[in-house]
Amino acid sequence: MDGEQFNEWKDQMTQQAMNAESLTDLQAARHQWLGRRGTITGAMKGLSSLPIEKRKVVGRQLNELREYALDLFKRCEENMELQAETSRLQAETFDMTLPGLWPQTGLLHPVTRTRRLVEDVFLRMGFSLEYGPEIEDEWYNFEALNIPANHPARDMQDSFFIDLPERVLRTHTSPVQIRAMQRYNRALPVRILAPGRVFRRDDDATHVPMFFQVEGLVIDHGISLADLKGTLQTMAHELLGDDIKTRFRPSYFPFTEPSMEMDVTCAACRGEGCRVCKGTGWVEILGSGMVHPQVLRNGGYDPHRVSGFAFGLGIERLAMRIFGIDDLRLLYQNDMEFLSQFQSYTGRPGL
Amino acid sequence: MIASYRWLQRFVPELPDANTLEEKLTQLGWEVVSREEWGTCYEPVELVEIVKRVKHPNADHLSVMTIRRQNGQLTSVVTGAQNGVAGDHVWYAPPGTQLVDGRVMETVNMRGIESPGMLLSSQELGFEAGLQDIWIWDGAQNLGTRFLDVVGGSDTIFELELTPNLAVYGQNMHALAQELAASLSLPWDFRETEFFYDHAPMAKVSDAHDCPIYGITEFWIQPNAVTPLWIQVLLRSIGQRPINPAVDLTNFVLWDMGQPLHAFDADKVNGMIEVRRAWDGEKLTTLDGVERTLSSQDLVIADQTQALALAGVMGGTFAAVSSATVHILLEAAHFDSQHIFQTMRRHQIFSDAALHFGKGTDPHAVLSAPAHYQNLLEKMGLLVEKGGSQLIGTMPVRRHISFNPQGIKQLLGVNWAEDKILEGLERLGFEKEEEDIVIPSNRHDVEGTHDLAEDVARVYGLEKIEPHMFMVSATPGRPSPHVAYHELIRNSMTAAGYWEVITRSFSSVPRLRRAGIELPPDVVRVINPLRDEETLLRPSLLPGMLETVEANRARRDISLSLFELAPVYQRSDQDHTEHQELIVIRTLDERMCYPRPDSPHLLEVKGVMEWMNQKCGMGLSWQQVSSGPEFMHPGRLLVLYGASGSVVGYLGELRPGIAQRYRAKRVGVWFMRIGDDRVVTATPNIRHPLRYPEVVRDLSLIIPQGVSYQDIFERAKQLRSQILQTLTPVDHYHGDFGQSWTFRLVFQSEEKTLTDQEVDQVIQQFLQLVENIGVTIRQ
Ligand SMILES: [Zn+2]
Repeated sequence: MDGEQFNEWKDQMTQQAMNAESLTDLQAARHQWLGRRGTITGAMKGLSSLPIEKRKVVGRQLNELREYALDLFKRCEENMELQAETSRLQAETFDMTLPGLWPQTGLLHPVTRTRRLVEDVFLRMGFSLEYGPEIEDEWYNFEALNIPANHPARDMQDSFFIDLPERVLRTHTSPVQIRAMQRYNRALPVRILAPGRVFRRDDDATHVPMFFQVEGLVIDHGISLADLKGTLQTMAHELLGDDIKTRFRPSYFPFTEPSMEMDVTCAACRGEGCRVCKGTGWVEILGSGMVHPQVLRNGGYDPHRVSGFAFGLGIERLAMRIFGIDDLRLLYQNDMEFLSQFQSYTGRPGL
Repeated sequence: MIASYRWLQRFVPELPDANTLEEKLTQLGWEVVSREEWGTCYEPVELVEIVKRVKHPNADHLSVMTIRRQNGQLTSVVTGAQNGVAGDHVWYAPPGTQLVDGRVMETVNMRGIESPGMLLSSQELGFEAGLQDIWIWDGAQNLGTRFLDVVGGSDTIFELELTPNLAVYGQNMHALAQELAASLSLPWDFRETEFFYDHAPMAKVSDAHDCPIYGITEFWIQPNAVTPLWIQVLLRSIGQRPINPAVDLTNFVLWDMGQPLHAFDADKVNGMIEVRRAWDGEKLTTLDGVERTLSSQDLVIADQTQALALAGVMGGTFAAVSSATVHILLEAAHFDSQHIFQTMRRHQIFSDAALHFGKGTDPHAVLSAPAHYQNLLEKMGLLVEKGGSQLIGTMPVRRHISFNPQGIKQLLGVNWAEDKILEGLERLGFEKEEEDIVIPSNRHDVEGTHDLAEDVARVYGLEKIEPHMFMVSATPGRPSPHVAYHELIRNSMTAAGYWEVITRSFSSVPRLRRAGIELPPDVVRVINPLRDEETLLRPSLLPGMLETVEANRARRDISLSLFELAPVYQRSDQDHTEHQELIVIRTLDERMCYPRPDSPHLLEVKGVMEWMNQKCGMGLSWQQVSSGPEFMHPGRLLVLYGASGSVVGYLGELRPGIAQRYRAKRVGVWFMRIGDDRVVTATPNIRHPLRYPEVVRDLSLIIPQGVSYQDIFERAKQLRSQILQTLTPVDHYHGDFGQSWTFRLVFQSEEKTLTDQEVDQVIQQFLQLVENIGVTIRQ
């Protein structure tokens, strides 16, 4: 019994363990070496017959060999069990190419999401949200906004009238300007954003009889058209991206003077000119202006002391622009197949 | 409005190219809807000479003309024209030419003879040249001259959309040219002369408010004359049809300077002209051939017999001028614009005159327009003699406002010099007089500094104003607490897996009936609905929601979980006509789906309500009832109470018969008012997790008929046990013993690990309590 012999045994048992084809084979081999009558066990027993000096050396070597064998067979056994389990599991194959079961998730309407996007931009600019009734007093909807009784905007063609005297379904969110001014009661600054439903007698690919607007109003000392331009430009960049260009054109609204409309780069052609933008490269996005002195007075403010600007923006038009929709009516058909597309990432974490 | 580049150039000779013009128009607030080249269709039309005319061998009314073209080439063309003999110069449209009416010339076989193209009449070219078939050209131009050259070449035509403030003064070339010249800093040429009225007693005006200024002039003119081609060309280019000189000139003056004139055939007028209100029931056949019944709301121009014209809107046929007219009465008036606007809408006559008078005209034009007209008549050699004239009313004084350049600068947010501001205004026709600005007589739109600021901004361009961010104290923006609460509900419903829909606020009686809803007495009706399905404002979100279900299930069997939070409307004595309603709907049909069918249960709708009640602090309580809204299944219905104890809504299953009308078999519904008055306040109550193990016991109980889960749950609550945490149903059996429920009771203590004895004690107490309602334990 010596180290050389032990090395030989080591090789033998390793060979046996590696070549074992079954757990039975492995156990037989283990038994052969480590069993009660096994080779290593026998050699252990034979130690006592050796002289003391040699016994120490051989004993140590033999112990190492035993440790090695125990570990070897344990590892091989584990390995073999794992393989056995693997083959058993492989027989239990499940078709993972089947479609996954999606979680039942909810979805906000794209108009709600777009409205919140706009609200968020202006809340960050310090605007507070204001609301007014949808069934509005004619005075707030028209007269207070400088739209006299014989103005074409008051024609039956444009407004829905109801069987409540002197009431109308509001045709714009602008009456909230007056209500807010009254509520602020001459306090400054007024800085509000009024989202809400509005109603007009129109129904085609770019008009629906009920839609959503947001109205903005700022009143303070020394508010100017330059401030309005700055605010709207900031809004356009926040909503449509920093690379968007803006253009301002004079326009007309009874309740603002001067009035202007803002155009932004056409999304379809990126400003090159196409059918969507009638070749101009621009699409109109909102109407705005300096609050008309009479409107300031109607809200209780003195136009000689303060000035203000106002703007109104259609949420649907913005949604169409942001999501790339070409027919406004699609937004109100509530077709799940159409809406389900809005589950996908829009490219904007905030939307 | 249609504007012609050529026409504008008459006022501004140095007008830049059309692209620059379009940019300037946009900058000035004139929206360019479209831009096209006019006259290109005349390109191929050339002047030829007739060399021979023979009768068509196979047709009595046709002739064959041999024509010589510029290169001497001879061509034969068949014509039906009575005129045209050898030596005449005529206009020839070779094949391929498109005529004004859209016809395209080709080579046609006319009774056996090939005829390439056509010899043209003046009408086929869009002009009036007197009574002749083909247009015999008496000009000295060479053969081969293009017709386009004799009309002065092509022109660029702008279609403009005018905002109401521009329409007040801008519907004419003069005003447009003035704005362009002002913003381009170009010289412009507009000489106007004032007509000198004498005092012939020719007319009277019964109400100066309706017609503040009325001018009338008598002219004798040459009959059967032709309007000069250059005027016809300008009228044509803006889409006006030339008729006869007397009429064409009124049209020309209208578009040139914005003053509608009207010419009456003086020989058909009986006595003095009267500007008066119509009698109720008075008849007038207007120039469009329609006989109209007038009322005292209408202003008419009448003679001593009858109404001759609807004032400022449209003339009548009786005294209309024709090419044979030799004696005219020319009216130049200033009417009350509101009155004309209303008449125009009432009678639905959107004539050019009404569209001008109705927006407002320049009172001063009552002097300048007839002078312009007379001048043109003279130039054309058509004026035989000028007769009497009369002006009734006085010119209004020109309005002044104080000049406040500081105010203009502040409003625009610019630091421009006062001179620059004044110069811009002066270019637009404003004048400074001492400390005032005098407003031009056509600018009814200008009231104060705001309006001047707009004009200054327009002349220099809005892009010249540097954007700036306004500065106010940095207070945070605030959402409304009410609406923030609505948003919480929307977010929570979405988190619960429901999809938000937005439906229109309108409904109708049949739509409500279909959903099983009787018309409430306090419904708000729409007086002028767009369609029959939208005659009232919805008193409930249910019909719209069910229609959404129907529309979605029309094409596929889709299971739906939807909600809407939106207003419903009712008339009330107070101002409160809108209420927020929440509706939640879920189709309950089983849908095949691997690996397990998707079988939503009514309790899932209830579960959403229970969860929302906690999540949104709705403060709801509920009770099963056997009757409620007619459209609900009476066997599966909960009434919901708000925190104050009043009924706020219902939850249950829709009557299956109604569900089926909307292509659904079974539908779970939860609907309730969301009170606007009460924003839920709550303080968070968060405790530490329990550290001791729970003890779970399942109890199978035999439940007699009529005992509900609620009955058992209430008993468990009566125990007031500190350790019984939950009691939930986990299984249900039917057997010969009746019905049995297995409940899982979960015990847990805040203080210690529970012993069996402690748990058993609670269970015994519980069993004793439920025994009173006939519940026994199943062995
Ligand atoms: Zn484009």
